[in-house]
Amino acid sequence: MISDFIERIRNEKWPITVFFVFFLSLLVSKLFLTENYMLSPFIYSNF
Amino acid sequence: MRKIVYLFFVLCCVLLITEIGLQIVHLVIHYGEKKEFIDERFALPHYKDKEWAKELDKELSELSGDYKEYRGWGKKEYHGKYLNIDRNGIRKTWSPPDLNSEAAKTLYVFGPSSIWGVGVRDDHTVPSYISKELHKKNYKFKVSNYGEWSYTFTQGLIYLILQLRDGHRPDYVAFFDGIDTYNSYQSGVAGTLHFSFAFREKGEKQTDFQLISTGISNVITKNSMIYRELSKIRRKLNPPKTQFTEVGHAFNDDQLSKLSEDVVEYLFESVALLDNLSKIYGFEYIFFWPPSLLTENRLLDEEINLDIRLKDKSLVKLYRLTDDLLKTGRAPHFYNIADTFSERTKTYYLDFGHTSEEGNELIAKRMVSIFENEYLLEGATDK
Repeated sequence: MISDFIERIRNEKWPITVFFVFFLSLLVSKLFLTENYMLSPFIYSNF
Repeated sequence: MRKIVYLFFVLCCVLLITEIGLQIVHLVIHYGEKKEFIDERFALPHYKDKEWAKELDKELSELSGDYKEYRGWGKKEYHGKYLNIDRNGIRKTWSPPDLNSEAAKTLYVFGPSSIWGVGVRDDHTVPSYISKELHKKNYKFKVSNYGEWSYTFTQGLIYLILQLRDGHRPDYVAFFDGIDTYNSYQSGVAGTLHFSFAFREKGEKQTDFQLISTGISNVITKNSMIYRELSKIRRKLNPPKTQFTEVGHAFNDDQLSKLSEDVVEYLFESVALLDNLSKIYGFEYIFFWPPSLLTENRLLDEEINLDIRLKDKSLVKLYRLTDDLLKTGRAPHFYNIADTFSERTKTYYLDFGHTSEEGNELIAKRMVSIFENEYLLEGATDK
């Protein structure tokens, strides 16, 4: 069944398009989106 | 049905390949990157040109702690160049080389990490400077550092009780507070431990399914690049109203005022307990309320961005309200030394509560001067 699915993905364009749009948007976020947000400043989180 | 399974398969493939791709990008971008210090406070000017800073930073990062009966947590044994903890979890304190331990009086110092000495070497903690100062004044004292990270006054008191139970009989006991206000702010209730909500959550009964789902969600939130980036985008689109998540942050003025009163009341009920213990076990005690960047009336330029907590107006307000309530002598042997650095021209702070080696020396000098007047000088209550 999995080989059928892989064959189907190869023949259809939309799964690849979804992947690229998703991946590229997160890549842009990773490379260019900076933030100063900090979590609540706990003194120490361990013993 | 087959179509749904196919869509699910495509979704899994997209997520998996995206996650792997982002992890690879992350590795490539950060390859070979090395932070100069593990604890970023070591980048402060206090440590400039101090060749020991890097080693102390490393040693501090290697420390670990574990569960301790009745008092919660404590440090494990550790031996380094600048940081040493014995097998009982007690940090090394400077002692005069020729001290006759049998003849010397004993002084146990209790308090949070500021007494334990975060960011300073063994010989430069507040208890070490107290020991040096007493030695300079020709008093024979063996000073011990019973400070522990994030300990409240009452937690320190329990620590003392455990020492008394084990047969210790100190001549003098000094308490130094500082974290009670913050811990109470964290949970919104006076008299609570640091991270008390985490202990409460751990104690709540969870089904096996809840445990599994908590585990999976922890793995995802801590490791997934997809989760991290989606969270970043979400916060950009819908910025959180505040970056502070402590319960007390949402309190109004009346609630903060009530909390500060509760903090002080809880504290002095514990002091009454200490007072009774001192009579039964025959020791003298003294209690100090410490300086904090949050209660300073004047901030130096270099201090404005020293600690993100300074931007939390509710926390600053709570600290000031509590400090105001403690301006006057609330009890015998209680001293507010919050103004120790009020005339400073350079900073002695590492963050809102921890102080540099120089700062510790000034605090210790003030403590010894008060201690001497109270107990050691001619005409004092105990000579």
